[in-house]
Formats: sequence, C-alpha cells, structure tokens
Amino acid sequence: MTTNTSMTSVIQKTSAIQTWSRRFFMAAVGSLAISAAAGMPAFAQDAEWQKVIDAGKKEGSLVLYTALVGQPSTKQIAEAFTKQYGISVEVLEARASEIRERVRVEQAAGRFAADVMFTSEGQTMLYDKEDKSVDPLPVTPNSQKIGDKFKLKVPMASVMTIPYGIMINTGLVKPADEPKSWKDIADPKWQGKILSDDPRAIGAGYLWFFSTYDKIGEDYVKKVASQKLVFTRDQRESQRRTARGEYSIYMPVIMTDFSDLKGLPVKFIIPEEGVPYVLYGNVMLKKAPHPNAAKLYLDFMQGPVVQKIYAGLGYGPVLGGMTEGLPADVKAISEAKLYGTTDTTRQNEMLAKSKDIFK
Amino acid sequence: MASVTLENVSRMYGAVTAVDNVNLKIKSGEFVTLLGPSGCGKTTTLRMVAGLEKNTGGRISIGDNVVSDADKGYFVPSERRRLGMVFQSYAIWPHMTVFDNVAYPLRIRRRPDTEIRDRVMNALRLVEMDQYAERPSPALSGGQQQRVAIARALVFEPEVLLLDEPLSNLDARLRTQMGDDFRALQQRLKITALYVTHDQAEAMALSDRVVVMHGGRILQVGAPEEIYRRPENRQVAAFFGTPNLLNATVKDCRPNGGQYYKLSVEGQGWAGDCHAATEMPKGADVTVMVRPENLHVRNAGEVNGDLSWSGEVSQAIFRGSHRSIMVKTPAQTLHVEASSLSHVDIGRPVTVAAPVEAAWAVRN
Amino acid sequence: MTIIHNRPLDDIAETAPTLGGNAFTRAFSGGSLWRLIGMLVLILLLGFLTIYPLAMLLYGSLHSTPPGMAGEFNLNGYRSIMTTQNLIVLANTVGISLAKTIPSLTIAVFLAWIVARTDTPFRGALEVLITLPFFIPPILTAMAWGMLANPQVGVINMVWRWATGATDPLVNIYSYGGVIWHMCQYSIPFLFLFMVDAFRAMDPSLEESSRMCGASRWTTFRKITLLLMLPVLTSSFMLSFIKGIETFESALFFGLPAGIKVITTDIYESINHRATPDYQYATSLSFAIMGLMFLLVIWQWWMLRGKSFQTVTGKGFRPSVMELGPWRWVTFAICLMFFFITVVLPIGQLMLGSFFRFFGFYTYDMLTLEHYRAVFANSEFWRAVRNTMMLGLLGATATMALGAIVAYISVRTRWRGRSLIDGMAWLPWMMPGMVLGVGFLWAFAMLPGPIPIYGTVWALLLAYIALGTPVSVRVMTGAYHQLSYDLEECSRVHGASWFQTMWRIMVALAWPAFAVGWVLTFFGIMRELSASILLYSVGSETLAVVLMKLWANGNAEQVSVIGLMMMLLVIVFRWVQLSFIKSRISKL
Repeated sequence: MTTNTSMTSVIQKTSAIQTWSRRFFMAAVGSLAISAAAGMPAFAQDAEWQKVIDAGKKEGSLVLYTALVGQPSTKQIAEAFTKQYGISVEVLEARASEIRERVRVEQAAGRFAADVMFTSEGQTMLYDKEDKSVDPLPVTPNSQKIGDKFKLKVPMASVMTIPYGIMINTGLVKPADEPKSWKDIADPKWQGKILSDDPRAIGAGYLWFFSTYDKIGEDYVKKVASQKLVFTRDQRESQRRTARGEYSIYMPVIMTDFSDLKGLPVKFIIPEEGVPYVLYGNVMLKKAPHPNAAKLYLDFMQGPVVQKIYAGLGYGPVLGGMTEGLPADVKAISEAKLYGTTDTTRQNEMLAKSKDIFK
Repeated sequence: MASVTLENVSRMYGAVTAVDNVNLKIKSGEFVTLLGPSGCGKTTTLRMVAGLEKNTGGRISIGDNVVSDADKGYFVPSERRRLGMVFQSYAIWPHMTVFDNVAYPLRIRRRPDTEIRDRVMNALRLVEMDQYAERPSPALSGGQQQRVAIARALVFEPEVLLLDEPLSNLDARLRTQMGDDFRALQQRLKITALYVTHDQAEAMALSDRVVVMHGGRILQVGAPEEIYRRPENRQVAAFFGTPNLLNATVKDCRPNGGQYYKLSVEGQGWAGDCHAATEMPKGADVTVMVRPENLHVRNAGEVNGDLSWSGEVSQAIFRGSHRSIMVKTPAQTLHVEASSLSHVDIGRPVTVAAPVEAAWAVRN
Repeated sequence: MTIIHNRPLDDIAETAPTLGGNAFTRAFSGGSLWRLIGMLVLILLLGFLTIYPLAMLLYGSLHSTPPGMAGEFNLNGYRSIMTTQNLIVLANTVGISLAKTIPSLTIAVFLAWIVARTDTPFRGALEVLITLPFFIPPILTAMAWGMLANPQVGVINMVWRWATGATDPLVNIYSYGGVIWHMCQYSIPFLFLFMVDAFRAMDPSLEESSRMCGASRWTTFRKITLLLMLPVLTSSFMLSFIKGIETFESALFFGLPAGIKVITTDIYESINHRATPDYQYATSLSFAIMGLMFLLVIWQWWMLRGKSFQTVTGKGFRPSVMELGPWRWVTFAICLMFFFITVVLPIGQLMLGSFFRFFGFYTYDMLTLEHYRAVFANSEFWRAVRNTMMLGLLGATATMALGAIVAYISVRTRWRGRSLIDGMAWLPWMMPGMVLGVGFLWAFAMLPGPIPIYGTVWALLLAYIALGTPVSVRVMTGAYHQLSYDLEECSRVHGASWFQTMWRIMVALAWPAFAVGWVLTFFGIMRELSASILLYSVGSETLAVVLMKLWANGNAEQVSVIGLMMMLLVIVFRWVQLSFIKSRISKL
C-alpha cells in the first residue's frame, strides 16, 4: 500500500465532482457505484479500503473464471496477486459462450462458485442485462485512475484491450506492396490471396467488419467481400498457414501474437486507421463467496503491476504511462490507436448484414 | 444320488405346447433315456429339469426337494439344483484349459485348491483324460471334448446327471465306444442319469428305461427290450428300426397264461397267431408288428412257424452284417433281414415265416 | 419283464417331495423379484445418465429460455429449424456421412479380414499401427493434413508439381473430399477396432463348409462371413454414420473455407457465434436429427430380429487363418500402403514438427526440444494427466461393465424391458457432443442442492460413462451375439450364479471385445472436451481441457507432443492387451 496518499487525493477529487449527480447516474455509471465512503474524509476512505484488504486476506482464496483461454499471463498475474495479498487464486478457463452458460446455470441453481469473471465488454453486457449474474462494481482505489474512455456504463472494471491488425507473409509480399491500412485490403491485387477470420460469426472477422462498416462504409466492405476471401475460424492455425505461404495476407490478426511468431517470415502491420479492439475486464459475480478478495483482485488488475504485464505483451493498458521503456515493436502495438469495437446491442442487425454481404 | 420326479409337467411357448403333461419318475441310480424325433419335447423336458427353462405347468422334484412348481410360482435356479450336465455341443469353454474346465464347478463352490486338484484329476482319470489336463480345451478332438464335458459334469458328484445328445457329434465308431464306456461308468458310480437322444440304438444300449416321446407327450416308458419288442402302439413300434407293420383283424383272443394275450389274426392273404398286451374284441382292427430280423425266408410252401406269408423276392441288398431281402406278398412287401451268407434269387417264390413270439399286435 | 402302461406316476416317490427353503427364499427363488429390482436399478441408472440430460435439453428446446430463467413454453425452436436451407444442409450432412461411412466400412472390413483371417505377414504389428490415427486429437490430424494437402504449398502438391511440372494442385484438402477424408481417418480405425475381434472369433468351419458347398472364396466372404457379421456390421455402420452426422471438426476445419455447411457447424454457430447462444434453436435441431437417427436403430432391430449369429460354439475350433500363398504379400502391401497414407504421412508430420520451433519450418537452426521441455515442465499438464488417468481408468471400466450388462440383457435374455435399456443406451450417441455437454451441465447443476455432483469429479465421471455407453454396449452386443447359449447355460447348471457366469464365462470369452471397448472408451474420455469444459472444476482439469488451452494459445507444437504421447500410450495398452490375449489365445 505504498500509493495510499496519492490514491486518496484522487478519490477525494472525483467524489467532490460527483456528489450532486451521483444519485442520478449511479445505476448507469457502474465504475462509481455504491461507495458509502464517497464524500468522506480521506482517512475514512483509507480505513474502508483497509477493511476490504483485511477481509479479503481472511477469505484467503479467490475463484476466477476467465474467457481468455490459454494465456500464460493469467497465471503470472495470479501469482503476483498471491504474492501481494497472500490470497490464492484458482482459475477456471473456458471459451466465452461456455463459461457464460456455466455461470448462468450455477447461479440459477444456487451454486455460487465463482467470484470474478474475466471477459469482454460485450459479454459483460449480456451477463448484466440477460443473465443478471453480475454485481455492481465496487469503487476501488485504482478504478479511479484508469483512462476515462475505459470507464464503462456496464459493470466491468476494464483491464486491457486486445488489438487486431493485418498480418502478411514477407516471402509473398514485397515491402513496396505491403498494405498500410484497412483500405488497402480492398485493392484488387489481393484477390484470392487473403485468408480472413469469418466475419459472419462473432469473432475477430466480425470485429473488423463492424468497425470498418461503421467507419469506412458499406461500399468498402462490399469491395473487400468481392476479393474472394477464404474464411477460417482458427486464429492461431491461420497465422501459421499464412506463415507457411498458403496466403499472402491474414486478417484481422491478434497483434499481440507477433512475439510468438518471431522467426517466421511474417510481418504484423498496424493499419493507419487504427486497430479494432476488444476491451477485456473483470466483473464481480453475484453472491461471490469471496467478495472482498474479488474487490482486491479487480483493483489489482487495474493497478500498475498488471497493467505493465499486459503492456509488455502488447495489449493496450487502461492505465496511462505503462508503455515506458518497452521495446519499440511492443510499444507500437501497445500504444496503437484504437479504431473501434463492437456494440452488443447492434449484434443481430450487424451479423445479418455481414451474412448478407459475405454470403 | 437322487431321484427325479416330474408331475404333470408342461411347457407352453405362447400357444404352442412343447411338452404336454409329462409324468415321469426316475429312480435313484437309474439311467433313463428320453427318446424321440426332433421337436418331440425331449430336450425341453431335460432343460426344465436342468432349470434352464421354466415349466409352465406341473411340478419337478429332485430327490425330496421340489425344484419347480408352476402353480406355486416356485423355481430353483439351475445353479442351486446340484446337477451335472453334458451339452450336445459339449460347451467346453474355449478360454480355459481342460483342467480349468473341469475345475469350474468346484471353483464356483469355493473348494480348497488341494481338493480341487484331487477331484479334478480323479474325474479326468475316470474319463481317461488325466494326461490332457493342461491342454487348452479347443485343441481337443470331439471324443476328448466329450470326455472332458463328462468329467466336468461328474466332478462335484451331482445329484443327477443330465445329458443332451452328448454323442451326436461323434462319428459312428466312437459313438458306440463312448456310449459303452459311459454306461459302464454310470453303473459303477450309480449316477442317476437323464439322457436325451434321437438315436434308438444308443437309447437301447445305454438305458435302464426308455421314455419314448412324440409331440410333447410320453408314448411309452419301459425297459429297452420291452419297448422294442412290445410297443404299446403303432407310433412306438414304427419308431424303432423299420418293422413290418401289417393290418389284420382279430379272429380270436385268449390269455396265454402269462402276462399277455394270444390273438388269432387274419390279414390279406395270411392268417396266424400273435401276442398282444391287452384283450382285444373279435373283429377289432389291429396292426401286427414283425421285426425284419425275426422273419425267415423259406422255400415256397415250407412252413415252419406260427405265421407265414407266401410271395416272391423282389429285392436283395447285401449290407455286410446281414442281407436285406424284400418279399412281395399279397398283403404287402415284407422286409426280411437274413444272414449275409444266405443266397436268394430275385423273383424266386418263397415263404416268409415268423415265430409267434416275434409277432406283436397293437390296436389301430 | 412287466408291461408298463402309461399310467401317471405309477411308481412315484416313496416320500412326498417337499418345497425347500422358507417362505422368503421361495418368494425369491424364481429370481423374478431380484430380476425386477435389478432391471429397475439399471433403468434408473441409464435414465439418470441418458434420459435426464436429454430431458433437460428437451425442456430447452421447448422453452424460450434455458433452464433457470423465466420464460414461456413455445415451439419457436422447432419452427425456426423448419427452413429450406436447413433441409439442404441436412441433405448435405447425410450425404457427407454416407460418403465417408460406406468406404470406411468397406476398407475396415477388408483390413479386419486381412488381419484376422489371413496369414498376411506382420499382421500383429499392423493391427496396432493402422489404428493409431484414431487416438490423435482431430485438430492435430487436421493441421497435419492442412500442411500436407493445401493447394498452395501442401507437401503432396509440391511433390506433385515438382514431379510432373503441373501447375494445378493434385489434391485440395479444403473441399468435400478433404472433409470426408479427414473423417475417414477416424472412422476406419474405429470400425476396424470394432470389428476385428468379431472376425477373429469366428469358427472357420462355418466358412469352410460354404467352400465345400462349392462357393467361391468371394461368395463365401459375402454370403457367409459378412452375413454372420451382420450384428457387428450394422452396429458399426450405424455408429459410424451417426458419428459422421455429428462430427464437426472436419467440417469446421476443411469445410468452412470451401463453403461447406453441415448440421453441426450450424449448431456450433448457434451456440458459440451468436450474440446470445440460441440454445432453443440448437436443441431443437439436435432433437430433430436425433429423431431421424432413431429410425436407423429401429431399422437395425428389424434387420436382426429372430436371427442367430452364434459363431462361437462350445465345440471349440482351431481359429485357423486362410493361407494366401504369394497373395499374402499383396495384402501386406495394401496394409502397408494404408499405413503409410493414413498414419505415416500425418503422424510423421506431427512427430517431425514437434522437434522444430514451428510446424512446417524444418531448417537446422529451428531444431529444438523446447516443446518437450515445456510440456514436461508444465505442472498443470501433469495434474491433468493424473486427473484424466484416474477418470479414464475408472470411467472406462465402469462404462464397459455397464455396457456388458446392458448388452447381455438385450441380447441374451427375454426379460421385459430389454429393448428399453438397449434403446436408452443408444441415446447419448445421437446427440451432438456439444449439445449433450450442455445437457449434462443443466442436468447436474440443476439437481437439488444436497446432491453434490456438479463441481466435483463425479460430474465428469458420470458424463463420461453416459457418453461411452453407446460404444460399450455396441461392442459387447456384437460379441455376445456370437457366443452360443450352451457355454453360458453349462456354467449355470454347474453351480455358477448369474453374476459368476457373467464374469467368468461371458466377460472372459468376450474379453477381446471388452478390451477393445475399454481402449475405445478410455481414449474417448481422454479426448472428450465438449462436456469436460462445462463440467470440470478448478483443479480437476482434464487433458482435453489443457490441450484446448494450449491450442487456443497457439502452442500447436506442444499439443502435438501430448498427442504423440497419447499415441504411445495406445501402443502400450494395445500391446499389453494383445499379448495378454495372445497368451490365452495361443492355447486356442
């Protein structure tokens, strides 16, 4: 708790601004939800948080569900958390739809097993609106410090963004021909040479479709559709296929994977327009068996330790100043301009549109 | 060893009656054979005694214990009937050695190992298979397998031994030899045995009593000789060998001083005396049975017996042990088994004669 | 000599026979009450394992929301699947499945015949080797074939272009043919394993007698061998065909790029790739398919009714093999070719790749053992191995025991309810895995609170038993159809109870089939993901879950390492099993 003094001052400031409007926005602005401490003197804030820390340590463990499957960082973060608070973390991983159904069924059956769920913004909306399996967000010291654009309406404590870009096979694409932007993908010279994640189903391809459709327009998307794209659903295997020379371009690629493919004849390109992204964060699950440990974890994930871990892997941190001192290639990806993301409320409409365009 | 009693035992398959009201008592130590054509219910009867089928009517007892009573819904499963059984296919378990096969009934009963070894070897010695104990069972010849099956059935000294056509898979010579061996063994050990076969020769050679079955019913029960010589009806008569069955009418009937009656009968173109089990009214239609081996061929007109027919030889077949001669008579063609040394010419007129004891009349 | 008249019981018992035992033992003596209780327990068990999860799914298909959420009953799910497009997809799916099942069955029968009934050299080794692809996770063989046969830089096409100077590729795995081929990689070994022991257990005299009647070798094969194998063949066909309808890895991997759609990719999409998983649609579609599949089961019942297929009799036989003379080198060559194409090519690719940093980049400086090191140093992997081994050993044994009992009752008794349990045992096979997994999740989680199945390893174990039962029952059914009744009755008469007979005779005689079924079930458990991922709890990860995580993180090489280790395990298992059998069969 070395950052206690600076932390309290931030909280004070924020709460002063919000005093009047809190009542009105409380439901919507989850990041500032119920905090009895709001408006109280600094020492009270401190004391409140210290209580959470003590209670969390007493709980001793935490059950984390995550939809981000197979990431070594998950374990790394859990270890760091255990080191800081002495609270052990048990992790259960499964793909988004699977883990969501597990949480829903567990809660419906009254078996409250999980405390925290690490998932995407879009999924959080479903957890919140449809399944009603999520508690409002607690205000924690670090939750105040993250960038404003990551303070969400849905009760998710943002942690990082996954950026998507373009990957090329350097053996097949001459440096002069390299696509620089999303627009370049529509160039007829790429006809039949693009491997693409399937935009007709929720996933990376759809993310690209959603953001470019909104920002560039339907004509562009239609032009790309006439490129005879070959569709796939397996991100990692597709990267390898492109590396082996089956296709010149694979898109959209998870930019952070670049480090795994070092040594292969591929190049990851950050498009000029920016990277479509998926925002990941934590939600507090209803009737969490370890509510205080969960609060600590949420806070920890937004703190500098974890933010640096993610930035170091190329993910976009939600806390400023985390990319200092990173190698240039990682830094570029981590700092890449965020282009757009999907909106769950328009999902059915946009999926239908995609299916129509990409037959 | 125990007796076996069947009282009014029936077995229905849906609307079909496979065994119909069978009554039978097998005495302790007795060898009884169920004999009949296939489908006569003999195997079903055996399987009901074994507990492999449930009788739908009647009561079966082994020794003093009822093992199945259809009316009371009482049924003792096979494994608690203390039986030994030899199957038609031998049912030698192919995954076990000879020793294991024979030891099975003892192992199931958790006998100590030393006892198992002694008794198995004894049983194998009994069937002269002791030197094959460690052989894998499927590598045996048919006769050897049959011996193993018998050893297995005997090894734990069952109350009753059941045998389902155990010799039918063997060749003719082995069949006779195995049959004789088995009969000797049975008599030595005084086992109650119920034996099923469709082979009349086997039935006669082995049994104390033979039960002739047909259509699910018992036609006759008796010692082999009785059944052979004095059948109760035409069906039983016809079942053994190829007897000459002649239609005749009773002319006279009187007791012969013994257990049966002496009849004077008249058929088409012949007349004479014969025996019968019951008194027959004059004018009754009867069938007279004369076995081919009891008929003699004489020169024409030479009558030297109680019954005679004249006719001419229509066919003569040399069969090694004897000669089959067909004699065409006004009544019918008679089948005569003569010595293979005798010589007859086709077409020669002859007289066929039989002693009165050889002719047996049953009511039509 | 006395004349015995057919008087009833003229000389019956000196002492009147008595009923043995007391009233209690008499009541049970017929075994009918015990049988009833046993049957009831079995029906309840199977009901819990199969009907209950399916009932939850049925609820899901008839309710606007999945269990546990407010909603209403309606038929929207079934209405929404009634589209022309779905009909086309269905026809497509059935077509693909037939196109893979028929050649697979033909090849598998041929291979089984070669291995079991001829004197082809090295057939013992071939028997183990040609089944290997089955035990490798499909995703790995898919990757391997993707590398071998993609139209741009696939090894096969490169060799073809180099050898012939052609510019067009020889093969394209991203096509109907590719989808079917990849499915065949699994169905041929599966069918082969399923049938080979049935071929082996057949009494050659049945074939010989046909030859003696003047039938040619080929006619004998068709009219006698195949007909005697009818229960096994029809079971195999159905298992394989139904599985073909439900497989989706092949279609997803190779079909999607070519625009090939099958029912299961549609179901997959409705659960995994829609804004909200549409369980009502997915379950409705699954039930519609299931209904169609059940017609097949009824067809099989109708085919086999009233026929006897006993080829193993108590008379014993010498399972001699057919001497092919010089032709045995031809059959050997055929097997070798099959082995090369279906095993060496893809598995060689995986093996090679596991020693390089990246699949497909085989240069000297890329050589490494880091994937092996990474796997062996992965504590989570070892924990998963322990869990999976435990679940596999327990699950496969329990599944086979259940399967043996169910198969016994349905094949060898005339008990009432035998068709019911036989039918129940089919059910899990007819539900696509990913939907059934959801069914188990709903079923186990929604049990009343005090029944702690969900969240424990029991949930996994029960799901595995349910998933494995169809195969175990089919395997044992095929084996039991072959055994003559005498072998069993003989044991009963000689004092063995039903259970003793079951164990010492029926299981012992059907042991080869039992062992094969066990291996199939064991590796089924090892590979099962759909249900595992929904039922595993923290600390009880299975190998499949770990593989999925590694794959999702792009560690294809590590997945291969584990896949190869699984294959090694198969070889060990099969070797132990075959040599163990051999020690008994050599006496045959």
